[in-house]
Amino acid sequence: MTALLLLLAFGVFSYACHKVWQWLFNPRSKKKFKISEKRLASLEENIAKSKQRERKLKADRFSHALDSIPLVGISSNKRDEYEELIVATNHTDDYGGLYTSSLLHLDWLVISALISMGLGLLAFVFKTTLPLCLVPFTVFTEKYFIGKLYDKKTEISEALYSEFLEFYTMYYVQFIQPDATDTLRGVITSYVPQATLPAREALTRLLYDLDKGEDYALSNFDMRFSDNRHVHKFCSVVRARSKSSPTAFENMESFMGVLQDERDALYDKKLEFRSGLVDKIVKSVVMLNFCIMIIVLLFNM
Amino acid sequence: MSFITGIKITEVIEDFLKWLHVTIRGSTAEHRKRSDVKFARMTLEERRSNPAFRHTMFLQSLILDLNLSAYKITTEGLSIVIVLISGALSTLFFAISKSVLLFVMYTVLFYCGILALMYLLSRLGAQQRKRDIFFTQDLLASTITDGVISSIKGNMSLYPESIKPIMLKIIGNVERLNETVTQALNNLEYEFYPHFTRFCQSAKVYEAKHTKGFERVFSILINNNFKETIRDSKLQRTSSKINSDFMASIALMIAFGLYVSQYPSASQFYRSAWGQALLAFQFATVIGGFIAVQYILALPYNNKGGK
Repeated sequence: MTALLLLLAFGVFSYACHKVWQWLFNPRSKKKFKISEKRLASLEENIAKSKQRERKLKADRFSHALDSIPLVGISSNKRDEYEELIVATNHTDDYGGLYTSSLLHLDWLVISALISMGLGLLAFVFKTTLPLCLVPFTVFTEKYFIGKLYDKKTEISEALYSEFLEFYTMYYVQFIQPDATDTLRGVITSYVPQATLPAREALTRLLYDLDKGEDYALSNFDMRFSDNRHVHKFCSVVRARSKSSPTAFENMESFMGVLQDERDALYDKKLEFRSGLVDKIVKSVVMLNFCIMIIVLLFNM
Repeated sequence: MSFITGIKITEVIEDFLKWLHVTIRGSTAEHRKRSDVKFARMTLEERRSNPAFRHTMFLQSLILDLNLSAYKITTEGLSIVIVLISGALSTLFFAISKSVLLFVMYTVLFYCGILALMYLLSRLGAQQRKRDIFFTQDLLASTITDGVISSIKGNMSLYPESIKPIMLKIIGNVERLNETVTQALNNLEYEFYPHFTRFCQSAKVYEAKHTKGFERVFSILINNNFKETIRDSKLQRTSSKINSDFMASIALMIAFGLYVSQYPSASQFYRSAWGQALLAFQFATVIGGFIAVQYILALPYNNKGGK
């Protein structure tokens, strides 16, 4: 009986302590816990982004400090080239921010330094490999390292060049009407499903920039592909059309004509090339077989 | 056998072949359904690079160019028939050579050889089929303002005979199976790949938006088809000339070869292992060259630079 009462007293005491604890330290509800976790995650992201910004500034200072040193420094022309590549290919870091030329420069330097150190260790065994330590800092290694960005930019440029007529046709047929009912955004959204991946990437970025205004989007598009004359002409045609310039419609028609003529010329050139290639194949096959038979005849006469 | 079991051997073989036919048809129908779903989910870009899709389209073009669709042969059926024929022929060679490696090699060689032969035969009807497809596309493009389905139905009496069954099937799917216009356009693109790709993509946009002036895209398409037809006729003249030159050269080579084989030592050489190998090499170069020529002449025009 005493044990039962003690057990009951202990149970009541534990329950009372639990209630007092709950009253003193009120646990957060699951909903509030999730909200706090989200806030923590976004806070961490903001801290990481600000650290990345600081890192970029430090990288910038360090990279510019190395500019005067031969082999490891880069010229301002090279720096501009890197910026163009980064903008054209939309090369971003882990936090979604655009890469900088200084970061690219330092990435190349770090990898070159590591390879040099490896070659330096090898030089302890094979002394003749010591001069090879300088090879990773040459132009060729730099081109190889940044080659992927060059390839991507070329891929996007070629895709835009090859598909421009189809894209511009969609814009032209609607905007040649004085009372066009569609927008540039509508035209791009209609075209994107049938575009190749590189062209889709370029057009999606244009769509994203259109949120900040047509002028801003077109100037960015022009800047990204400054070596593509179709993009440049397209941007000027669209600007003229949106300002309802008197020569806008003539410009649109002449640009359409130019694109069409270029496409016809390309296909005619392909036709000629294929006819020539086929001719060469036939001649090679015939000559090869005749030569074999003549050699067999000469050996067996 | 009928003396023991009361069943004739021919009946057993007939039953076995029926069972085989039903099983193969069932499994190919399943495979077809799965492929249709898979291809319908792909974007245009994925289709361009997917090997399974391109192989299926290649077989589809063979079936249409050789008019095998009149015998209700599907791509899966054709693939299985070619595999069975290759297997049967290489089994014969296996019975002689008794080498598993050679059996596998011969199967692959026969499969490729039969496909290459079918491809060459299909070239005879390919140009006519392309003209029929362009004619159909021009008809649809000129009446697109009525709507895609109305346009397909309205021109039914004008389609060429090779195109009519496909159009009837598409309309049938829309009316009986409640397929949407987008699905119908996907089927149209699938049946006439790659000639109808641009038309179908533009038609999807037109059906979705009906924006003012968009019909002009189809006029431009008709214009482009006309230019391509002119290019094709130029190419046809060139290819006829090249084919006749090639055949004449082959005939001369055969005649010269027969002349060379008059010499006993040359004849002995050609009967030896090295001579056989050389003959096989010569045949391979001639056949390979001919197939390469037909392939290059049949390449579509794409807007990418280069070849």
